[in-house]
Amino acid sequence: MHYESTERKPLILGDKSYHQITEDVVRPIETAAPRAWWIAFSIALVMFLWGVGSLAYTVATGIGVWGLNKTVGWAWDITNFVWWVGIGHAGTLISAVLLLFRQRWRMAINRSAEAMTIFSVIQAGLFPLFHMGRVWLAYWVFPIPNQYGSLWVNFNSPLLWDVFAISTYLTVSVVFWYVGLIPDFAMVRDRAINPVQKHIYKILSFGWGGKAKAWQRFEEVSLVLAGLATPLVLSVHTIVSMDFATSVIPGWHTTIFPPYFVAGAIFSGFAMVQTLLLIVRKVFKMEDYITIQHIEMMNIVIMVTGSIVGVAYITELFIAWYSGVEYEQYAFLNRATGPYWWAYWSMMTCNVFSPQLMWSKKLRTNLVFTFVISIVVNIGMWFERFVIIVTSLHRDYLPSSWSMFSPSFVEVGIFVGTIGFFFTLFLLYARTFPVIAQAELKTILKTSGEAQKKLHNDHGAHH
Amino acid sequence: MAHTTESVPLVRAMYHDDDVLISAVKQIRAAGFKISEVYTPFPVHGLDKAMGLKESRIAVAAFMYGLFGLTVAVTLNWYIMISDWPQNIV
Repeated sequence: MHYESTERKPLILGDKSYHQITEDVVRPIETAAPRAWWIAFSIALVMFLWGVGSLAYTVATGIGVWGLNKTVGWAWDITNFVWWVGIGHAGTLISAVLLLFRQRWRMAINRSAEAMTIFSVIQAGLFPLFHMGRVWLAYWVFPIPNQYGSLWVNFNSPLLWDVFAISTYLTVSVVFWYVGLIPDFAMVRDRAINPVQKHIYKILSFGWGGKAKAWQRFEEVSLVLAGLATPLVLSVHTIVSMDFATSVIPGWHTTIFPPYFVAGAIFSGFAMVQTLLLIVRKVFKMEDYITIQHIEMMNIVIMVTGSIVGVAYITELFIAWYSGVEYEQYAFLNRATGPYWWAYWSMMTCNVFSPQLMWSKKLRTNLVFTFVISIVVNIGMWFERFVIIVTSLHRDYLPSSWSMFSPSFVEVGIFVGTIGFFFTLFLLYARTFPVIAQAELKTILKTSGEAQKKLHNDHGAHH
Repeated sequence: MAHTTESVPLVRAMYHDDDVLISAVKQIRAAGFKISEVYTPFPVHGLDKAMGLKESRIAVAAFMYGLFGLTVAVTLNWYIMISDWPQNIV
């Protein structure tokens, strides 16, 4: 048994026993939903239904109902796609990369972060799917034998790489999440009194019994899946950035895109984790598990990745000037001073300026401040994608093609709908799934529990 | 081992602490008893080694599956892009 330095702050506050952890984690599942949950769920559901209506209208009428024109052929749809995929990246980073680096503060937040990943990738997938127009032919993106003279998909296109990147990402994330959930579902099953509930959790937990051999396999599989998921943190958004970088549009055709997109993805993802966890810890009274220290750690990640994004923005500007290419120079001048200047400066304020405030320990440990910044960062990251996509496209090489873009109510409806869908899924998850990986968390109780640490320190370091 | 006809007593024990469990497992095995199963509510590090469980080969298997997947992907790409439907884009 190894003991932790007294310098390290406890990760589990209060005098918790193993049983108390079980009680605290299972409480949202076993008790009736609070009124706040029903209110939030109703709002999310209404937003979701509005989105369903907008999608139905789009499919029935055609994508002409969106605000796209022949110059700006990609706008809100791809902006929202990249935004949602990016948000997912924090979940994978927390569960996979932090597992390989043995970061124990991951344990209280990984379950919800992974849930967020899966739910946001689902939202992301909807946009390219419906932009196809004829969604019932969506299976054409897969390389399947057909009767059109063996016409295959084009592997030269990054849009096809996207299909594989996103589907791999979703698959690995779901498997990783589910494997971790099995022992926790078994815990809920063992406590369940309602026979229907017991039966459901019995099926979900795959007959988990907690044998030593099963735990050995469980830990090994977690490690293997973490190894598989780690390259995905880098590769998925790299490929998303290549949707732009491989084209010859000024402002898109740059080699900085992959690292710049990955940093931005982690940045926005951690902001969304903050938004969700600040609510979860408050509503379900999990302040002893998701502590101020956890919030602070995530704020530091937001600060670091936000700074990387800031450096990328400045590098882009410098390279545009240094390249000597007129079109490239104009693209960036137009972003900052053209008709979409407000989007550019919103992006700069939200993404470059606001995370710098996290240098102050007082601010990064303040919950209200963190909540506000987490929303500001996600607004900023939405604007980043809007700026990259729309301002690069709306000034074509041919000035006679120059145009503006404004979204139709249908596009707005679809975007609002995905936010509703995301929160509907997350709220259902929060009431039916153990939101903290309790089995894993129990392994660090003796070393990182507040009462246990204190007891050990009072009695000296001998064992 | 050779006394198969004699009745072997089955002993069940319960521990409230994972460290006590590990040291008990070590002592019981050292005394020559066989441990048929240990149930725990959370993973106990080092328990598999203390019990003498064989290591899992799932990491090696995963690597082999990965190689298989890579082979399928590369072969399919070659077939689609070079053999079956080459694109004349030079």
